[in-house]
Amino acid sequence: MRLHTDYQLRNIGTFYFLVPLKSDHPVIDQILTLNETGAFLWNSLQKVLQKQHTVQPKKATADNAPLPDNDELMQLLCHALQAEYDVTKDEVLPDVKTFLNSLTQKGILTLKD
Amino acid sequence: MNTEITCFYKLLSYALHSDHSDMITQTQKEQIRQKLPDLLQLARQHNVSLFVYDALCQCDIDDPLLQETTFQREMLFECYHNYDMLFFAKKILALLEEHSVSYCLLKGVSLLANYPKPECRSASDMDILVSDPKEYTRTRDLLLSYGFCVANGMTDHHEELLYYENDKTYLLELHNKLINNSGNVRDETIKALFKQTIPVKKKLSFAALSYQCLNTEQNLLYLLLHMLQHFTSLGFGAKLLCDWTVFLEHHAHEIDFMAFQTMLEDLGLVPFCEVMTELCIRYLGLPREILEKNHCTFLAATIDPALLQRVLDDIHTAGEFGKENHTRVLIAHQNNFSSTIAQGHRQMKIYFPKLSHCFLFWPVLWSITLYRFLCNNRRLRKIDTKTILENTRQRQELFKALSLDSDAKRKEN
Repeated sequence: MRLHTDYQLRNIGTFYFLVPLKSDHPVIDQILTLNETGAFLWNSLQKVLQKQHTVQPKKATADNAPLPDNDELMQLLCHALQAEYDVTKDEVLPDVKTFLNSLTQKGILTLKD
Repeated sequence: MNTEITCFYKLLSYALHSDHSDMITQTQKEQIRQKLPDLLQLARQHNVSLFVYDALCQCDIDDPLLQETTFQREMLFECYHNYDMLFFAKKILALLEEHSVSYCLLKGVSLLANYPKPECRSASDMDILVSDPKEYTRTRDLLLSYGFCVANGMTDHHEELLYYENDKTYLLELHNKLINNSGNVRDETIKALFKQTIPVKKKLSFAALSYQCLNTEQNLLYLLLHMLQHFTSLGFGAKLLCDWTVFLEHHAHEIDFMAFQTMLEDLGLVPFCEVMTELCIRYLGLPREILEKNHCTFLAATIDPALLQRVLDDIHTAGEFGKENHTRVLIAHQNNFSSTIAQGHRQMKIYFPKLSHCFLFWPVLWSITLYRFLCNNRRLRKIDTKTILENTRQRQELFKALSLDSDAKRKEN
């Protein structure tokens, strides 16, 4: 599982964008528009990544840092959403799946086969 | 000053400062809610919609109007447009760097680093200065071979190049000098001041964008001259004031104000610079203390409040580059008959670029130009010529109050 490091979360008004600002050859199609929940999930994903860096400092590098496996990641994001919005796991699971799917489709996140 | 204008500049000021030192009170929020449709329209006219929209959201000013699908689409489209321009700039700047071109990125994209949310600042084109003639030809050839095509031939100081990609068109203005010849005595001084433009390397950290631009004093002077150029033609809107505000605020500590003051005095632009800066301090939250701390020389002790109000009105009613004001057709720096004739002559040359080479045709071409002017006023602008002339006279008075008509006096001296 790999996370692209070219992307930054940007906020204008009520919009949230994942923009490949650090990419050498960015194109407009690579931008992903998120809602508030999506933005929260992205920040949670970043936190998970940072935690991984702290726990496994030698394994992780700034670029393409390794992440927990797919199920573990899904669990972590669901927990984060539940804690923030006071909702059940069944309610948040579709959102998390959609979010991760969107990231993988855009090539921002590469999940394990 | 009416509530609408106060609210508009309050929102802009809020958007320009990430620390939000310029707080919006509950009373002001209520006023903003009441004037919301007008404020959004004003923001469109001045091409600052994303700043206003973002400030509204950050201040928790919620209104059904902001949730409307068409409005949301409009804002989303603007966001994408601005990212698109940024990506285009990144690509072209990388190309220039790759071929070791000595250039200066001007205004627009080069100012983004000064904004808390750079992508909110819209740019319709990209401006590149290559002052060395040989380097200019090389750059032009490079861009043409890359896929650009020439949109308009060389004007006085730049050439417009277009680039098509994925059903989108991008405009690049390739400048061979900074300011066009306006035909006044200031031109020679400007030429001398920008004789040496040594590009300074900069990096826009938020987008990892590397570029070359003018040094700080030259950049500041260029921004002022750019404002002046538009002000003395059809006018300019709030966006250029925002540029002036954020640039001064971010670069005050590195500006040699004494050297800058000398340039201002040589150009006769001290009153103009003082008024613009004072407007930014009063309405756009430019911190006076930062300028004072850095010994800024163009902080006027007293400025006639009526003059400030007139300049603000001029900017406010202009919209972006005077597009909103159809009475601003005639441009005249000096309030006299000969300058109006000179302008008519210039317009004739624009209408008839080839025929105007032969002076024998001039009387006929002048008549046609005058006829077209009168017809366009009635049919297209739907404004009578008398109103246009009256507006021109008032603007000439304003130029006089800002000592911008001093060229004529200096020439006489």
